[in-house]
Amino acid sequence: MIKKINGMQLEKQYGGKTVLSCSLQVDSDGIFCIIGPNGSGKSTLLRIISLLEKPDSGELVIADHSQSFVNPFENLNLRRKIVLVSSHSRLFHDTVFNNVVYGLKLRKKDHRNLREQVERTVKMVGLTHKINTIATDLSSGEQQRTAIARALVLDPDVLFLDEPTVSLDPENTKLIENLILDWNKKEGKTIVLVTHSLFQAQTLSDFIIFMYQGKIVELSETKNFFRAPRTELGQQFISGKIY
Amino acid sequence: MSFIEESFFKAFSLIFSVNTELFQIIRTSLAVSGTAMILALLVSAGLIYLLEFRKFPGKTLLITLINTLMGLPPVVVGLLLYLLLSRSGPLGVLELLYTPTAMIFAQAILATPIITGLSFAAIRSADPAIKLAALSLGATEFQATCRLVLELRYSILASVVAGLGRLMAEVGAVLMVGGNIAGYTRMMTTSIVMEADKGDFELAIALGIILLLIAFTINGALHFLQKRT
Ligand SMILES: Nc1ncnc2c1ncn2[C@@H]1O[C@H](COP(=O)(O)OP(=O)(O)OP(=O)(O)O)[C@@H](O)[C@H]1O
Ligand SMILES: [Mg+2]
Repeated sequence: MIKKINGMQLEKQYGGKTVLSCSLQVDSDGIFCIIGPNGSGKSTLLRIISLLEKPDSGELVIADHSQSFVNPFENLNLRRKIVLVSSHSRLFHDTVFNNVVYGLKLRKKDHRNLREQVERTVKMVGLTHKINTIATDLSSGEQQRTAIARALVLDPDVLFLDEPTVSLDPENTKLIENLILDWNKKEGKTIVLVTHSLFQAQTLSDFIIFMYQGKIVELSETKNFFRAPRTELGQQFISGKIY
Repeated sequence: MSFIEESFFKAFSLIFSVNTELFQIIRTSLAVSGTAMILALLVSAGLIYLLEFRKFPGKTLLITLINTLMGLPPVVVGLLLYLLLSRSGPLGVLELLYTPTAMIFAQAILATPIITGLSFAAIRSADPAIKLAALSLGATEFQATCRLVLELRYSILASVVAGLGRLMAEVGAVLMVGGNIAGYTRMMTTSIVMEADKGDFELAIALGIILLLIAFTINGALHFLQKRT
């Protein structure tokens, strides 16, 4: 199981503009919340540490029980232990069932159990009655839950979620939050999620990663961060003075 | 009966009388176009694979070339192929001029840029989030592109139908390299031109009706497929 993700001087530019320049160490099996204003580089960081996009420079080390992988982008087996659910994730033009089974089929897991595994996960996100519906016809909240089911069914070592509850109503927000908490507690796996809800960050996470203009300004325990941020910027952000 | 009415009447009786000449022409047409289509699909798949997954010098040039060839006048293809295949041409020894094989090449050359160009454009302009989703679920680069192609199935099918349309409707190139030899290289489009030229409208009209029916069936099938999901 992956125990540590270590990014050193990760840099990313788009069109000559540096949008990310930071170092990061994730080495607990807790829940990490990345917060920060729009455009601060949260999604970019998530894509890089989930091995979907290469940084322009810097080094990424991912450590397993047994070995550590340096700049592991080409390592498919490792990549398959990490799953990212993007914000407004794009579902396939296919049934909910086929969306959720997709990653399992790629991994060629025991084909006899596929149906059962998919059905269990779809039930967890409360979409059993929609399992044969074309996923792209669902409401945005149902699509978001399908996207999460599609990731959870793979039982990844690390789960990255970019604004997982962004278009959900309060009830479904609660459902997803509980799923995240349960899964973290039961399996003891690391979850890194981006959220714009400070309330969600406060109630859900063990650690806060606060980003501003492509940099990680603060990485603190959640209770410490909200009680007394170590930085002036952190202070201003939680009191709504910067955005 | 007016002349036009009479021609149509004779055309229909020709179709329903199971005229052997007519069916010979249809058979040649379908065999040539079918083979050309298979060839065009194989070459297009290869080209798209190269463009999508391989880095090589002259790639941008190749894309520009394909886009230019999409609008290539068929007679120019016919002319080039004619020069290549004619007795004194570089491929003259193969003795392919005025054979169905030459017509297959001409049609395949016309359809390939359309299929490749339109499909590749569809793949390039697709929402990058689709590929990202497949990759994040553990797909390899190749598997993610396969998934993308599956997502774009209707645009890609439409480009295949556009290629098929161009190849079935074409006259100039096949006439130049195939001639219009009865029972051998005589096709629907070429016969229409020749028969109408001679003033024999009944066979021309009969073939025209059948070409229309084929086009209608293909587009109907495409529409049906799109409607189904
Ligand atoms: N593919 C891209 N091409 C060009 N610029 C990009 C690209 N992706 C991100 N950017 C730029 O990088 C910066 C950081 O974007 P990113 O999506 O990481 O921000 P974010 O913190 O996730 O913002 P939000 O809260 O709005 O989701 C932005 O200024 C954005 O315009
Ligand atoms: Mg974002």
